[in-house]
Amino acid sequence: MHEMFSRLKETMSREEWVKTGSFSAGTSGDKRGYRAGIVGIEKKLVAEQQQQNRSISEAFRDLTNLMEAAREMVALSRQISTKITEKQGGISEDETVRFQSQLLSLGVDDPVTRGTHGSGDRYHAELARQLATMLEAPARQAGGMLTLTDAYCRVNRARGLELISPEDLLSAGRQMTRLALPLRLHELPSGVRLLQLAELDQDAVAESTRRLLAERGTLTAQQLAALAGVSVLLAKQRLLYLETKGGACRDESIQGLVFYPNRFLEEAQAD
Amino acid sequence: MRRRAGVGAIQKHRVTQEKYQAKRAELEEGQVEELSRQLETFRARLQEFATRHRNDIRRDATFRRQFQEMCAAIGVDPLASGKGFWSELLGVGDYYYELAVRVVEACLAAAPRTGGLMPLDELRRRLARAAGPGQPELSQDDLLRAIGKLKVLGTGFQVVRLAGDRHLVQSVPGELSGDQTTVLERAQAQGGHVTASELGWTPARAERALDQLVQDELAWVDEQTGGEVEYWFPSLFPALNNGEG
Repeated sequence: MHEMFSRLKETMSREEWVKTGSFSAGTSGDKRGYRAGIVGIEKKLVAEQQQQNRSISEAFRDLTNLMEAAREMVALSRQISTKITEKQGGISEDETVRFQSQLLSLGVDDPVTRGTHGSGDRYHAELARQLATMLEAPARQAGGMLTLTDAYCRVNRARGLELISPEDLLSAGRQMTRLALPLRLHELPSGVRLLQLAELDQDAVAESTRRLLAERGTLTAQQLAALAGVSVLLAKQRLLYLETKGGACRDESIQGLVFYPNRFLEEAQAD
Repeated sequence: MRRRAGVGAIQKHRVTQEKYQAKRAELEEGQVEELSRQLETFRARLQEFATRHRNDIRRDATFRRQFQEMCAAIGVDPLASGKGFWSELLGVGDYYYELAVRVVEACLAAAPRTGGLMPLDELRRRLARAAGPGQPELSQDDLLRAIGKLKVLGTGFQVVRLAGDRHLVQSVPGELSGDQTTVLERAQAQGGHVTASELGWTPARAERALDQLVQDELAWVDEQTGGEVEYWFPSLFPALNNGEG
């Protein structure tokens, strides 16, 4: 007992477990090997980091050179653009189409690409056709319209690669009416942008909203959303539009926004 | 001798004009042709660059940001169109466009609870969590650019800047007035709640700002405090920021 106790005390005081670097109870040769392993890994990490840094600074240098070349092209494109907007006839339709495509590639914002000249650019016209085909059924399911945000997510999720930009979607949308596609872009005064089935125009929707309101006596955006099968945002837009047409009155309080049929108008008409 | 007049002179003038127009057209076509040539050369160089450095762009947020700034400096928006060659060849477009989709989905999923307002940092955390481990880091700059692009779609995605370089992501339409922004700043500094008197305004002014925030479902009212009414902002709750879902 005594012996065990003194042995224990001795071992405790030596605190073997605190000593580092002695994983193997072997020779100093093993110790060296162990250290070389750790140091080796560290060196490798540092080398990788340096390689990455080199790669990035090389990339940066290459990029700077590329940007110089791009800058020249931007300047040239500006000259051409000025000529086009200044006068008609000096540049052919074909050349304009070609130029639009060039601007698109470069990423230069220009009235010529925004489709205010001629018939808009070909890429977005083609995109418009694809989108109309792809989004018609979903729009129908969603009550006849999709917000542009919703459309954007659906399209890009479906594509997976080679995604389109929000501006691409907007530019394509703007060509839909001209191309007589089944979906049309509606830009509301509030700034909300939708793709709506051509067959649904604003007034038909307003009429059906008015009828719902008359049936119910009172509607909030949430209630209309549930009834009509559309999002709360769109339901609110419908009620607001109806209000501008004189078909509804609002009651605005801290409880929220509630709409009522416009009795003033109806009763005046009944007289 | 009298100056030439009459039909002959007019016709000669017209011929000269036409020749002049034709020459000008030739010069312009020359320019478009020249631009085509430069673009072709550039495309090849960009392709080469992409082969070497495409991964650097995906991996390194600082590099992405520098790239964006360089583009802006020369008047080019690499994210304007998926058909731009920056997007096509370097894949920058796909990176941001896809990020934008994820931002929309994350904000809409959280909207019932947050009312459509979320601190940018929280958005970043949610996206990082959803993406899973091993994904390259998402920078604030990346998010701001992606959200900036969403504005074009018109359904109210925008960034509200608060003092101290803090940002809120708004995903419902409606402008926050200056007063409402101040209320939010105050509330954020105090753990997500505020009372009317803490604002230090006239009662009418405080009421207007606070009532609007409640009506827009960004604030909750607590009338059971035993003292003054407190207004709470779920979108700013610190606890929510660390939670899931």
